[in-house]
Amino acid sequence: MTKQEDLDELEFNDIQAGLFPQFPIEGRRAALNSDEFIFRKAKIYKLNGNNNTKDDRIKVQVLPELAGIKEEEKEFLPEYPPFFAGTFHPGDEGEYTWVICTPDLQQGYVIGPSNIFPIDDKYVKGSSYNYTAIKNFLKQRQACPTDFEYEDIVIDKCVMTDKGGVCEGYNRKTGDWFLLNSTGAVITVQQQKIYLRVGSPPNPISSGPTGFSAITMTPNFVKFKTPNFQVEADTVTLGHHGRALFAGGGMDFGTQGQPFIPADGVYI
Amino acid sequence: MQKFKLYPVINGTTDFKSLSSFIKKTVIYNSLENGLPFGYMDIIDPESRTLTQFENLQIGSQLDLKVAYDEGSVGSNVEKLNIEDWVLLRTQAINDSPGKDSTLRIIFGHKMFLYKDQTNHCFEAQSNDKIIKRVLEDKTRGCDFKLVHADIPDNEPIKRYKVLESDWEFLKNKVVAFSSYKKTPMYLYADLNSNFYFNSIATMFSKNPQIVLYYSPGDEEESEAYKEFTNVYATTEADIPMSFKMDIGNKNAVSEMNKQFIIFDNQTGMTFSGIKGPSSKIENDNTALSKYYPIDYAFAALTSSGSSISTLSNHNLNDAYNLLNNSLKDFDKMFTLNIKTRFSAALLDVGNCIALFFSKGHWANGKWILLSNKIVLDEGGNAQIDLVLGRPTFSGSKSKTTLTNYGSLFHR
Repeated sequence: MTKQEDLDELEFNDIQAGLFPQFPIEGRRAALNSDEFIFRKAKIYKLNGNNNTKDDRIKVQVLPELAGIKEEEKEFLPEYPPFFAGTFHPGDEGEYTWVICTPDLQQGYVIGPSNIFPIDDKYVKGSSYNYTAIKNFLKQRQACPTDFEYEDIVIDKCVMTDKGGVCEGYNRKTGDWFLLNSTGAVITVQQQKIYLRVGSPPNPISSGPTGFSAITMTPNFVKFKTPNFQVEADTVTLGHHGRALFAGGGMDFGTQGQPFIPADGVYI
Repeated sequence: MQKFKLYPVINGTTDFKSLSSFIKKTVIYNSLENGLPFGYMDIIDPESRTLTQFENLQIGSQLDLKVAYDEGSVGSNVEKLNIEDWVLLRTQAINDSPGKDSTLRIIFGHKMFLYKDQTNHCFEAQSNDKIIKRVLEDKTRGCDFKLVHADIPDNEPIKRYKVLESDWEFLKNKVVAFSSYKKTPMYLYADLNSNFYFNSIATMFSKNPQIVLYYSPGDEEESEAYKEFTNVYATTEADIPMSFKMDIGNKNAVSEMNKQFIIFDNQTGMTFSGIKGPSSKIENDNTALSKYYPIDYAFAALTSSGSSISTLSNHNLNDAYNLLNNSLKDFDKMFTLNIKTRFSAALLDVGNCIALFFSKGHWANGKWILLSNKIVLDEGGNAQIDLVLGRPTFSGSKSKTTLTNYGSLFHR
């Protein structure tokens, strides 16, 4: 009697699972009732908050689990809130974001925009953070700290689109912090200096129009540079003598003997 | 004793009737837990002629089982045994030693076995029974199935995702697992005619028995006693040999009697911990959850887990309850009775009620649920049936049960 003849009972699972072995997807298949979170890339389908609601969830197509979903079913894609309370990292529809979720996708969170894994130099050279450009940007605006070494600069965000861009970072050794905008606007907080600037041209040394404003602050010096300077205040105090500033009455006081008229609100 | 045989008709054309004398053994098996019926047939294959003769012996071929019998030798029930629209799942040669007739085993079963389509789907928020209905009745598969009856589960509408799994795996793992009906587990299963049901044992137990099995009816008074059951369409022959084996308890049932659980509510950050019995609850407790579960204590945002504790976090709270309820399935089968007897040829489908009648006043008289059945036809056409009957412990109460003297078996 052969072994098969002993098989009086057929195992249901043998028939169910072993009959037609398909793709080796066991490792990808959702574990039944699992509470573990898995880390996935997802394609943004819709931002719920676009409808003037307070809903900060993002409707995402988790990959590879939900690859190949029909268009009419995409309305029912999972909706995940931001991973950290008080944060929100949206993206355009179709862009990729990181999510963590349960294997059955019932619960998950959006972490933030995902980077592309560069498989060739073309991508790396084209769109990643450019240290030299940032350094030149700051130098041109006389805002570059003396200590600005590549290995010390931490970039928190660096985004560039056809509508503009921003770069925020800090020096992990000195604590110098900077925020750059592609329009030329800059804020830096350095150990001995705070520099704020808005407007173009980028290079103030050039002979071009002086269409920018900047404030440079050091411990013993504040410099305003701007085409127009206007103060709107009830009182302006320029010194610490507590005396009023006098202005002329509009006539030649040497011949007419007119007295000075105090300039209201301006003290020296 | 009636004798008959089942023979396959493949693709509606290839008829094995002429070879029915070569059919050595036929087995048909179905159970509530598996949900899909299947079977196999051993055919003696002299000099492999059968195998070469029938080109339709391929996976996926439609297979009908027909009854062959001598006129006048069987009762009317035999005609009901015709099973249609199953599929051939596998053929294999067994006992193929040289010089002897080889035996061909063909394995066949419900059509759903074949459909391994792993297309991903998102299902809109809806009740579990509606998802099941939609999947079963989906025509894009190439064949649709009928959901004859479904209890409406306790769950709130929730979106579900079919991910890298077949329809059947999705239904069993992602839908049925989270389904409970009035806090009792639910089952998805097909009968021998390929129709599906999505019921809880409580519902199954509320139905009238479909068949009466009685054992040595004895005097007239006793034989009258089993007639109280209505809708009975088949009975066993009188005074037939039966063998019984009673099982109380299995390896999981004991732990399920007092199942510890921890549910972490993601919305409120609360953790609920307690012991879930089959239907236990604490009275006069002002915790809202204790209407459903005996909450020992609740504390905020801390979890602990042990190997014997069900920790249910990262799920919708409502889903976690239903998962917990559904996980008590072994408890349903704690109290079972195995019966082996001659087969009266009535189609016995799992999930139906069976009325047992032993003798007047016997404790086991009354309704039982058919948990699994196995029909075995041998070479000579003798039919034997192997039934596993269960009596869910939560159905009924001390005052309303056939187990009058065994009320302590009820967990109330």
